[in-house]
Amino acid sequence: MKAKDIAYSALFAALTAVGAQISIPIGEVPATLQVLFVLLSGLILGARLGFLSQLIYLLMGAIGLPVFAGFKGGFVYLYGPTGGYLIAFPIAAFLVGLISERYENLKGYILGSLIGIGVIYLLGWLRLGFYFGGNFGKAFAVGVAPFVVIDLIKAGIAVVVADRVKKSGVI
Amino acid sequence: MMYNLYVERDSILHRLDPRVKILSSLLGILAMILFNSPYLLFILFTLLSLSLRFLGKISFKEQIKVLKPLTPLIIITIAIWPFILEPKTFGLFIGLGYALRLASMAMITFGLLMTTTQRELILGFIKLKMPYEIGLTLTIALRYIPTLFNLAQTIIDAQKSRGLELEKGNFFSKIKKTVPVLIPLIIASIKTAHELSIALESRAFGANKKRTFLYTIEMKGKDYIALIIVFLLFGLALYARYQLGIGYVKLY
Repeated sequence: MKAKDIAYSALFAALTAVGAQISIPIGEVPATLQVLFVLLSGLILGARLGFLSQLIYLLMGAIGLPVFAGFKGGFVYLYGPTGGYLIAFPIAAFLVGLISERYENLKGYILGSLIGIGVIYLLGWLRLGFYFGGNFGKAFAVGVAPFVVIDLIKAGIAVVVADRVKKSGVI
Repeated sequence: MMYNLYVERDSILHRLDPRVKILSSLLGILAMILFNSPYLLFILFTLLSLSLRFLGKISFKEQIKVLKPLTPLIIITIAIWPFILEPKTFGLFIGLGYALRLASMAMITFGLLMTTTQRELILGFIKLKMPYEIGLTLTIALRYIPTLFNLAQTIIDAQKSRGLELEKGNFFSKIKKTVPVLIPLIIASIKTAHELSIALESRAFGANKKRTFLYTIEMKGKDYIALIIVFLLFGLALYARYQLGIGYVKLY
């Protein structure tokens, strides 16, 4: 690993941890910006570093640092019912990065973000389903349906932000 | 925010080699997955708590303090199973088992963190062949969380003073208003990362392939004995689960 790789993936891992603590009050359930930063790290850093930054983020959480939403941390959260969503973060960032690297335009960013959200929900839903002893219908109703629209809007925000950051020429 | 769980004590667990503690924690977590009976898991949980108390000199009060944030997760686990399995009492029984499994796993990982300093822990992982760059990246990320958190607050305040009303509007307009906060936050982070990489390179990062350490760790007699005991206990768990068939309740 080069110095640049370390610095960029460390900063984006830290950003994801910060995003998990910033919550926007929407109705009853506050929405965090965690997923938004997962997509942004793929969009801005690309596949390899996006994956690495999210891996570091999960490692921080796994060893007990309170970096997950609501200042939570610990290996249990990776294993627990909502662990699927977390485990999907590095994979999602990798895929988003891969697609947006191939098509360097808005369409590529949008397609990548949609696939990223898809992977997060797919793994999250599967884990929750297995946790419920194979009751995937219930897992869908509890863990996917209520949140998917909010996260699709977040994906839109991620695309807009990534596009402007890239156009600003800092990276 | 509590970013270090380490509790300074002079105990057997504190003095063990971090590699032994890391391997034991992994085996302990694997052993928990073998069982789902609340009776057995309750016994295991009690044993874990007692060994942390007497081998690690971590008081029960301190143990409760680190386990407390898990309460919602544990309540959800107990509450959801009666809706999945029939009859409801059997669902509750299984839910208790899963909740105890989560609590035991948490006890193991938090036990590791409470008896091992962060430096020893990272050194232990590196000696177990984790690339040291991962450890370095993790440390840097950790160092920047509070900085970026404060930066985000400053940006929010600055944009508010320019008339950004984050709390107003419907859901869609609320989330759209995060854009003027996110862009400066990310650009500032990228600039920081750029400076950081120059700072790393100017200190000849990656110039030498072979690294030496200021502090080293060495396996002693008691570490080998501890490792043998842990492996024997894990063997016992496997034997109990697969030969004697205890501790596992069939769900369907």
